[in-house]
Amino acid sequence: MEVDKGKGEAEETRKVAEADRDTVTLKSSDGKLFEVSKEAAARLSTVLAGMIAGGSIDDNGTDLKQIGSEALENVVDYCNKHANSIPSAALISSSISFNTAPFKEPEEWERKFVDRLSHDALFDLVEAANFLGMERLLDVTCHKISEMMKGKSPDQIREVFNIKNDYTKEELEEIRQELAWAFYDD
Amino acid sequence: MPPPALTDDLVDEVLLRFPPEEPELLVRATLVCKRWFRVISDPRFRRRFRELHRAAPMLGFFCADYWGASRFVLVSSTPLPHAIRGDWRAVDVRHGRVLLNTVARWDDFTFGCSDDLLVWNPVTGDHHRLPKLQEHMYPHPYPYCCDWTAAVLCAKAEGGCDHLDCHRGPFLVVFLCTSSREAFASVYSSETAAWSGPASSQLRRAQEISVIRLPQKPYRYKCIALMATVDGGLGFAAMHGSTLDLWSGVPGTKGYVRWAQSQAIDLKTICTLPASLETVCCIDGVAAILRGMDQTRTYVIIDLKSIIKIKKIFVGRESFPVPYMSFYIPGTDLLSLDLSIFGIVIFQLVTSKYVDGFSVENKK
Repeated sequence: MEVDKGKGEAEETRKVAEADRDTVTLKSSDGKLFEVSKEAAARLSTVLAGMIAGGSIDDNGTDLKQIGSEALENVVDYCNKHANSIPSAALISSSISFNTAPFKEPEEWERKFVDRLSHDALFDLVEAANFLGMERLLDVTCHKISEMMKGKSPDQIREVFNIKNDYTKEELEEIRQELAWAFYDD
Repeated sequence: MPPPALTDDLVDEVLLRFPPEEPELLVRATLVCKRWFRVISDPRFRRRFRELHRAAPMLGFFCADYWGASRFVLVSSTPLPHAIRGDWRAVDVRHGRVLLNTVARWDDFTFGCSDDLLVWNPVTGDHHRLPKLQEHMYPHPYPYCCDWTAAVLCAKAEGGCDHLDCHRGPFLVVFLCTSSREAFASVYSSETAAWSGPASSQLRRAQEISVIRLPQKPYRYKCIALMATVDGGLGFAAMHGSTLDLWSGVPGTKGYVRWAQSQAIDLKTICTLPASLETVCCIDGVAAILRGMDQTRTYVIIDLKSIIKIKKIFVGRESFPVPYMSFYIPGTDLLSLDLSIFGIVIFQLVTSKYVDGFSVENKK
């Protein structure tokens, strides 16, 4: 009993020490460590918020095996530098009975943040944002991808996004004729 | 090395963030592959799309010509599947429904009030003709001496409708008629298919008319456009020089409403404007439509949310714009409707023939 109690106390002390820290350490799939503001992580990511609340954050680096170091660096960069300008997801969604906050166009700094990314890095970041439940980062990255599709024909979209065409030529031609208004001259 | 492919989960997320004001992007995306087609046609996607974007985009506005008949002026690149016909004028628009009335001709004896009213959805083609109002509804013995307006509303508004998908549900039409001395109102319900008895400005019942005076200071506005504010209250927009002023009603003393200016937007700093502008219409905290008073009759459309996006449209000598806002997503629920039109509906039929493993519920 005594031992158990002692262990419980130690656990408690460790948790308190952890709670006192301002940052959490995250570990990418390839073993790199990143520090991120605890407040920002909890505010921007529903998954990290859950881990922090549940005490499952590891001081030596919480394993995020699904996320590579480049994507995690971008996530951390997004959280640390820009957390202050983003309203809490909880604040927005509590106002009305909608499941999600309404989509807002990315701000200037958010555009710049995703514009500098390579195609691969952008796709990895979308996956990371989705995995971590970062609604706003998902908005910004998905919006960037949807902008990349603007002005492109279905052929060009397939090429850029590496998608196989499973329609026949006749199917496409018929639809295209019916819906001429939706297509640019291509 | 080929570029990476998006995982299935993320295709949904990306397509959801397509701009609703450019519906042709979603239409083109359905042609990329059959999986994308299935995602976009899924009713759950349509629901999430509306939830995420909330405010339906302005696809264009109805403008009355010299004789009073309306035509549709495109703001987005999307034509409406159903065209407005000759002798109808758009009176009001809400949640995808358009309230029309027949254009009175000069030889019509019953000029004005007793014209037919019709509620119409230009995306689906549904329409509902309203019974005529009783003659005794008009305060003046000669109907053409009174002035009237009307509005179409969602009937579920009091039960907390989010208006994202209520265009097929029950609706109300509020008819308001004023003469020099009195004001009368009557409400039509699509559920009872009847007009209520008239409520006048002397009556104090559930349906009630109040007079709210406009602010006299700092300017006397010549022309205002009413709107609902972000928090659901009453507001109005008015031009003064090159500044667009937004006002909202706040509780004053003795239960009266007092006006408070909430915003003053200097449009000169954003773009070059016609010499003189008047406010013609305001879409509930979303956009304002202004009209140039010079010869060009340019319409200026201002996005009130971003205050940066401005569109200028040259319409000619037409007036009374009624903006039309609606989501327009290619999909399956249009199938059970009148199929004689060109557009998404035809597209749906054509594609459904070919998409393997995807059964479209074609009830026809």
